[in-house]
Amino acid sequence: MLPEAENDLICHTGPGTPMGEALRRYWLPCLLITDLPENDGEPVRVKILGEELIAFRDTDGKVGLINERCPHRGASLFFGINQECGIMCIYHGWKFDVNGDCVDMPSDLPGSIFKDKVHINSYPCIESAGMVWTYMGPIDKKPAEPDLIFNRLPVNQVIATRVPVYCNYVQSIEGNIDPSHLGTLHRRIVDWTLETDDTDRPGTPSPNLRSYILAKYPYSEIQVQDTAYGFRVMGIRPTDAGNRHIRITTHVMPVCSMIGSPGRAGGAFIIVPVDDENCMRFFVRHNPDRPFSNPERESTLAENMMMDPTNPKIRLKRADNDYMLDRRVQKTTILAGITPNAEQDYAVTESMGPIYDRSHEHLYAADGGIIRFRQIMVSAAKGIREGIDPPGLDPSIPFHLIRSEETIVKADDDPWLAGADAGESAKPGERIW
Amino acid sequence: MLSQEDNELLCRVGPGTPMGTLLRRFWTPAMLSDELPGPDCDPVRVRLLGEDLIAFRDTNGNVGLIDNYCPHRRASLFFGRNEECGLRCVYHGWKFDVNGDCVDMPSEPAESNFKDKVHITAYPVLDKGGIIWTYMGPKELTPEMPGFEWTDLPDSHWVVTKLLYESNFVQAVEGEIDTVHLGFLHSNLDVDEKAKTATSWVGKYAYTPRWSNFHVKTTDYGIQIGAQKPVEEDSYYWRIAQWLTPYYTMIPRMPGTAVRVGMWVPMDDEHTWIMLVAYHTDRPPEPEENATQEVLMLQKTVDRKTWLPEARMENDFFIDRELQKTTSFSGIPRGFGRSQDAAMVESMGPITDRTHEHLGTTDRGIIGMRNHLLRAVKDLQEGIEPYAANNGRVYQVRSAAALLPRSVAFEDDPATRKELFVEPK
Repeated sequence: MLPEAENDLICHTGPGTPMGEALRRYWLPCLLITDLPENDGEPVRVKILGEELIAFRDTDGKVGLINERCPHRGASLFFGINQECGIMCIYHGWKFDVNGDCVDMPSDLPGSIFKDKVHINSYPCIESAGMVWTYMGPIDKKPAEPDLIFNRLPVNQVIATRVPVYCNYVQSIEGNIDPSHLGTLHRRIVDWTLETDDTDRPGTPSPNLRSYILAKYPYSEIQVQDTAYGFRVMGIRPTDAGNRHIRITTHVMPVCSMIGSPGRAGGAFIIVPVDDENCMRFFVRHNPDRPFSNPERESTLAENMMMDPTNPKIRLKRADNDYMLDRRVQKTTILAGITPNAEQDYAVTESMGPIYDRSHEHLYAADGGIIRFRQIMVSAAKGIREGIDPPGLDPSIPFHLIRSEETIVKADDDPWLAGADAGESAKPGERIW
Repeated sequence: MLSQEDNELLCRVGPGTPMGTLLRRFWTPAMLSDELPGPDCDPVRVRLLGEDLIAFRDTNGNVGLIDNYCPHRRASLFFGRNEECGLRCVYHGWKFDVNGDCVDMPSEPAESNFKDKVHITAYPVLDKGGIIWTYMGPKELTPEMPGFEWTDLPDSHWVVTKLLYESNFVQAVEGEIDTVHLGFLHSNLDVDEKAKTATSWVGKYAYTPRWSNFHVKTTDYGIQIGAQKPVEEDSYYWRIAQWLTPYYTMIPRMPGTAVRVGMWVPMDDEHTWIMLVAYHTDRPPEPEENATQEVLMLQKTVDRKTWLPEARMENDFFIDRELQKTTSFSGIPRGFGRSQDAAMVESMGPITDRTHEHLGTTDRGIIGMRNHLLRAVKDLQEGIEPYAANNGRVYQVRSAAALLPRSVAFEDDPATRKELFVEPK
């Protein structure tokens, strides 16, 4: 349960809000690189943290992200002409470059210097890991560019997707740091009929054993560990052979969760607020050591960007069609009756309402990751008001070494050592939960 | 730039707001006459200045414009039966005539006189010039009809149409008196090339140079906006537009071409009815004239239920980026009426935030219009009634264009004066 005041504090991210100001201290993805495929291509509307913006790739290939509305009389630059290193408003020909400078004002009288006084708000952008990232905070507070594992890999070893989620970003993130729901939401009916196998020993479990354990042991003990970049949340389940099955999901401030998955190669969800009632879910897969094949790439895109063919701006499966829930499938095959897994997540998180009212909920031990996340966010938002920089921005953090993990460990091994490559403390006494 | 306070003052039109009160001092164009084609025809919903009304034409051909909500238990009279000189609510049979009197109440006992005590809001109407006009202000202050020239001409001499903008009326008006955008928004990429061989003033002068020097004059009807371009060594090309209180426009026109009157009437704070008239003083408009074509095209393509054109914000006005790169400056196809203008005006948001804008010298007309309107609102708050409302003759003007020696002001040129002012009868 969260008091209403604190719920408002972490859920509202528009300009001038404390949480909004805190989130503006980090680089955030705003588009896929493929959304701006060519120089002088079509401008794209971007809404992020409640701000309506236009992204464009100029003649030199540079990406600009500027206010949607022309500073003259507020017409949308979406209709603008992207050419010769700038975007020109079609109303009176005012033209802006990627830095937001007004570089032409042909409707003004000759000799006028009005153009030099006009500037449109613009945000710096970089392209990395298949995504366009932007920084919307004060320039003197701009942190180092994102340097997670996928930011360092060649493009062919990374797949990035994005999909709109029709609810506040906090509840969407909460689903990602909740290892407990794997025992229910994402299960197939057949999982309850599986047999154990010989991978029930320290190391990576087989897909079969993983499903067997998740179905057989729905209760997972949750532990949380604070880190310099955020926190790690671990779900621990027993195994038939007396080992422990652990999943460590790593949350990198402010909105990136690397999902506990076998082989330290779990995908990351980066949940970026669009406005207070919508967010964009970026999903990044990476292969540490080899390129993705074309079929892998195509199936990842198809599964994670399932849009409505009659209106590609909106998701195919959404509240107004009950996520295409099939009650027959629910009885016989898939517990949720909804496919694929991501859509199951959307169904539950969106069904909480556009901004979830946390004053009525009932949390228990399994929600340790969620509780810690809220505490950190509340503290970051309050800190901003007192001039304290938000956490996870220390340039000495080895971001590229941060990993998630899912593995089997011996009962008496320290499970926190798993995936602890970025200097995370493994001392039991330092655990928070 | 305007303060948030002035912007609110300018844009809010509901009952009781300062601007709403000012607008209710004038006759208001409410709908097209042909929306009520004959006696006892279907009632029509009319939302005006934030009020929900129902229009109907009774058995005798008289038009009524009454409150949408039945005074009994507020069911909509849109569902009503228009019969025997009144509109009858289908809920309990209460019936109202065009004056708003309750003329029948069959659900009450015959001896009851409750009916005589019940009245529904009814606004007076006039059917003139293809438009049904209404007056929504205090009865004792009923103004004169604006003396627009076309409203006294034979029906054959004008064409009229209507559509809806999804934005506040002020920014819609601003788009219409902002004549400098012609050289951008409505231009093609080959205009400079074509100007070399063009014979018409528009072809020769509208795009080179693209800027104009704006001369704005306050008048008793509103403001006169002269945009001056140095086009030949010894002459200026003038495009003269009019803004008439509180929301009428006349865009510049070549001598001898149709006069185009725009009425930008607030439906509510975030929507605007646009009624467009094109007329000739002395003859019917020809179908191939630009002004006529626009009206006829809108008559054909606007949905008569929603009054929205086919091209609108939800489909990005069918913007064609290939067209934008190769042919047209905006890339927004013209085939759907006023799409290019609507795209600009509606994309500002329902009520544009004028605290963030940057006005330049070519926005003098817009600044003049706002000042005039804000002054009228503030005057009325101090008890000074709007002059134009009670002097319908001031509306007897037209727009114009002229090519004149640099030494001659257009106001002094007899031919231009003849275009600009309607001769008193």
